[in-house]
Amino acid sequence: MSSLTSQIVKISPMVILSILDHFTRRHVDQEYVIGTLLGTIAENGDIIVSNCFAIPYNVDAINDVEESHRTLLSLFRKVNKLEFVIGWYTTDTDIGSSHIQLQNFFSKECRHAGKDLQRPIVLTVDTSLKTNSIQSHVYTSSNIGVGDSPSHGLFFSSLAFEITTTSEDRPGLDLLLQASETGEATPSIEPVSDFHYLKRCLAALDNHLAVILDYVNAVCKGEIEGNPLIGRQISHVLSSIPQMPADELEEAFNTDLQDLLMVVYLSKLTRHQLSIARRLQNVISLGRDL
Amino acid sequence: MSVAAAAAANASSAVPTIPNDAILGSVTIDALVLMRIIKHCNESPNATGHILGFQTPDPTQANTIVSNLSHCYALPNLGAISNNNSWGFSISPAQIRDDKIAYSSSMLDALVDFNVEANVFGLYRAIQFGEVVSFEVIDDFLALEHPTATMITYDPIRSQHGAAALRAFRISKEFLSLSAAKDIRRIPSEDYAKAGLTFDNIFEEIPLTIRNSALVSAFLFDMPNKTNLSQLSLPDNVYFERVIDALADRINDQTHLTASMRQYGGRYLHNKKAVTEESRLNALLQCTQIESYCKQVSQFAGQALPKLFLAKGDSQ
Repeated sequence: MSSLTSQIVKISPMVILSILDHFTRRHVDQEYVIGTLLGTIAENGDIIVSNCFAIPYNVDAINDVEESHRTLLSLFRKVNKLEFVIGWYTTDTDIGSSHIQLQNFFSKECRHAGKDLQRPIVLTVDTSLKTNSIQSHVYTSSNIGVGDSPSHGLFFSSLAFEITTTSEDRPGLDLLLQASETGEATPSIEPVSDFHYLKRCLAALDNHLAVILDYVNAVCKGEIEGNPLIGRQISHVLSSIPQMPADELEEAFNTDLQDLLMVVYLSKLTRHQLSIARRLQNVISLGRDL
Repeated sequence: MSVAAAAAANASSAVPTIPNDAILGSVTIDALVLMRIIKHCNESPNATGHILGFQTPDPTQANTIVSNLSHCYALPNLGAISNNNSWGFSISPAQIRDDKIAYSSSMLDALVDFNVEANVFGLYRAIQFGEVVSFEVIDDFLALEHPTATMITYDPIRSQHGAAALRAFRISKEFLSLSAAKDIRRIPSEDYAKAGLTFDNIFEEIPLTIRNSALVSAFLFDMPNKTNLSQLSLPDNVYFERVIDALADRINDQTHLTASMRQYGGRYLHNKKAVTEESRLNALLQCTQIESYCKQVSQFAGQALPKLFLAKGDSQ
């Protein structure tokens, strides 16, 4: 059990988006939605939640839940064989006795996966918006019982987790964040060109620098007390700027520039060649004049 | 006026009808669809899947519709299994097509339970170096049997070096009528030329919008580390090298093809035997692919050059 405490559950933002989508699509009389979490276990024991799918919510008919889960699991496994069942999600934030049946079912499913995950995890997402934010929690369970006697119940304890963005997710998440910044009722955005993107990044960098500059100025004037931690970090950043002699830099710049221009020139040449080829093709096909 | 007639009039005003000959003007993609596409495209270099949603008339443009893409699912990579299996037998293209249909129908059956709009209005594909069109892509697209379907492409490698490389396409009307009559691999190149088609304009790019639902916005509001400055790093030559390698390979192929066509051509003069249309179409297709690589190079250089000058200006 000691290894359990050092585990961190890493959740992909896509999983949360899926759960929110599932919740918006719930039936009229349905209070909560549930679904299966898929993912992998890293070598250091971290649980990585990378995918999920919805299953019908019906605690009274656990057989239906099982059947639906198995059907969808086999479909998802055909696409990605590396992900296996690691737990389940619910938008019911009040974890309690009503969840024991589901937790027991998913315990069996995790064992089928053949990985050393002792107990499935439960991810709760609060979609009620009572707290002004979408709060998530991750739990796992352990048996309550004496000695070898059969379990008398389950004890749910919370696990450390974080919503992690990989560098692969980053471009997509950036788009979504930009859309949100527009502040409209249904925020929307069109993907921008690389050049505009670069401009945005520079503006963001400029903002960051302004914040740091304001802080440093305020500390120098004695308006606020300097925080040694921030000071150390600023000096760390400043020292990470490479110092190169001007002529070396000039040379590196010129080499790179020449490479780039050469590549552009060659690709232009290829394109011209192709357009000639295309015209010739038309001449052959249609017997037209150039 | 009878109650029934009034109800009918109401219904028709509530659900605007879409004319049969309407064209697809633009697409809107939900946050979830975007993230699922990105996940799948990063996992597999030839990822593909179906996109679901609903279509509405475009209020700003007559005879034009908007596809609202609200859900998607990945398709298993059946082709790769058939090509790489260790037992040496291969699965026929017809078998792969049937498997895909079976997979998507069981997926749609399952999704209907969750009030997902179970209409396939498009497909997504992972692409490399801006290469959009190939016979397989056209096959997959035509298999949707929907004239206003859309194709979304995502280039995972390119996206690592700039903005998310996400594009939306529709199929051109001319090509659709051409392909309705003949097998696409047997359409004579004369017909292409007459219809004004090249492999460039079989798929036409259309505007694309990303949309967040209210809950998604609420979730994103609390997302940590909002600004991403990694794009400010100097251009990565590794990407360039990969594009140019691919470009060189293609040009090599093209040279081989031209050489073999020339042989055919010689025979044509002697024996009156025509060059097979498929090889001619292949040549045209390869031209387009080479061209798209070239475009990638200039686009990538277009962002690399200002960065380089910025870095220089910064150091002075």
